[in-house]
Amino acid sequence: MKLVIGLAAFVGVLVWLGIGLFIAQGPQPEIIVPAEVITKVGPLNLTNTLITSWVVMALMILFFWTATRSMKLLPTGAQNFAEAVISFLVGQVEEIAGEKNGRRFFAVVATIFLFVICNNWFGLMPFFNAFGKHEDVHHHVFHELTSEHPKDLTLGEDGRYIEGNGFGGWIMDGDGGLIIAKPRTKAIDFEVHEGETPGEAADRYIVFVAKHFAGFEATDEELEHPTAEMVAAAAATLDGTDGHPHLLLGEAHAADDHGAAAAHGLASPALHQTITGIDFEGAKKFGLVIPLFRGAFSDVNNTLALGIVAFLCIEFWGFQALGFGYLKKFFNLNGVNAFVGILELLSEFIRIISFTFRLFGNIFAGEVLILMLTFLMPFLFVDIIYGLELFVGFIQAAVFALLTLVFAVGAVEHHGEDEHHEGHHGEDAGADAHHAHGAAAAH
Amino acid sequence: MDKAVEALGLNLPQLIAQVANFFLLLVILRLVAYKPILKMLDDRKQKIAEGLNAAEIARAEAAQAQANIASQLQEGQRQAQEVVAGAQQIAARIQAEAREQANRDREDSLERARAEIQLERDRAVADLRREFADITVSAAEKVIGQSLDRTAHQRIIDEALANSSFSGN
Repeated sequence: MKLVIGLAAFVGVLVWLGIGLFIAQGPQPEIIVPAEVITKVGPLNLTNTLITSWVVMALMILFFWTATRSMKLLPTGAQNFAEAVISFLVGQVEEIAGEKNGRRFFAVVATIFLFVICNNWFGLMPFFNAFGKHEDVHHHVFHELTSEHPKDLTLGEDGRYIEGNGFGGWIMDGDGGLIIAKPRTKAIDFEVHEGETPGEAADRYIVFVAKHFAGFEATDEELEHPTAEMVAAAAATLDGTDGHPHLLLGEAHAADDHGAAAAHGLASPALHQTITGIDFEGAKKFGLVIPLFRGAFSDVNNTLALGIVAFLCIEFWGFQALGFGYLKKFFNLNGVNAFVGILELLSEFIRIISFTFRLFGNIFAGEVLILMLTFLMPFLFVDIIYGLELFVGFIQAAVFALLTLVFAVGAVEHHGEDEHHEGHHGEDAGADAHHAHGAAAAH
Repeated sequence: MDKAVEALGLNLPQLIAQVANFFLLLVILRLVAYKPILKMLDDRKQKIAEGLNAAEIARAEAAQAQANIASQLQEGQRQAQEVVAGAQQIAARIQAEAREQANRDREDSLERARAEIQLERDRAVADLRREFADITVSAAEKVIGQSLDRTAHQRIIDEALANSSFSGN
């Protein structure tokens, strides 16, 4: 009996996973580290992470505004929750920093915590990384190849690329506008190599497009080094048959000026013709969904910004509490302490880096993990990872806030006493004098 | 370094925007969340402390009042008992007095009745004597036909009476 139930459960889980794979498999992930730019406003790239953090900020402000609009002594609903959160935070902060310092540091520490945890948890919403703007990757690749000053590639003096780049995208439907990534979308990657000419790259691109969008047979090896005949055959398949992209060719050109772009287009050395474009009308597109929302702290700009804020606040409190005596911790002429001071100074700056990459690494890795698992095993396993990510989101927020708090407490601590103590044991009278001076300055 | 910066998508305007975002959020949250909520928490803490204090005082007062009532009740009971006892005492005394009075009255009337009877008998005896003497004298006159003077007469009678066994006692 037990065996039957176990077997049934096992089969059930398998069926469940199978159904998930069939109806809900995510697109093959295209992992892009920098935040995607939705649009540009003056010098500012309006990235999806920035939009997300604005949305989260707006929601947080809205929530707290509603909760505290008419405060009652006997709290109900939103006020109750808001108070519970704030009193939990204030309790923790005061426990670590003491009542006086706790109240001083509270606003910054609490804002860090709330901002990070709200962003992390909000980033787990299902529309994240799925819903967004359609981007035409083909257009981008073609533009890069034809351009004399490409953005993602670096063209050398001799007409060969000094620096290559990979262009990733999906074989997908879509014609601009806002779309949702379809299940089981296949990702493809076109790599422009270092040392090849735009023409050679264009030849390979023709074979690449023919293979993925018109059913042209080519192995990976052939894709990397296609013969002229292959390019011609591939070009022939791109003839505008229904469902195939259509190759737009310009005038034939002489063999001796290959490599130079004639008119507006791309000279193909294999075809001896100028390609003026590829028309994807009626076919699948080489595109990508640029998500409108993406976890704000999966962008290194945002985590670095928060790290800098924490650093600035800590140093500000240090100066506020100790005046210029605060610098004594870093700069002094007391033998080995001088060296320790330099290390201390260095560690202040290293903190920014560790703040930045701890949060960024955790959140970015979490997003990649979720994207990967929605592609590999859409049901069940993803749920477990979502649970884990909820936990990670909380932990990272707590770690960032608490470390800021602990460093702040360290910064406002009086070091005079410590040094006096050492002074008694030290033999250097000069050091003692220095301490006395330092202590006086601190007071 | 440049490549790393590019690969991570670092750019200054966004960095500045995000720092500004944070401080904006800090200021607004301070305004709409931390200040009012911390104030409310402190207020409530104080109110609760006051309330507990007041409750403590009220409890003490109630206990005091209860003790007062109990002692007053006890006092009342004691007084009532006293009144009852006094009344009982008085009643007993009145009863005793009444009984005594009745006894005395009865004794008195008995005494009086006895005295009256004695008096009545004495008078009857005296009357009887006189009558008897008169009868005797007249009888004797008739018998001897002479009259004796009064004095000699009386002496003879008294002698006769003294010898007779007829006596009042």
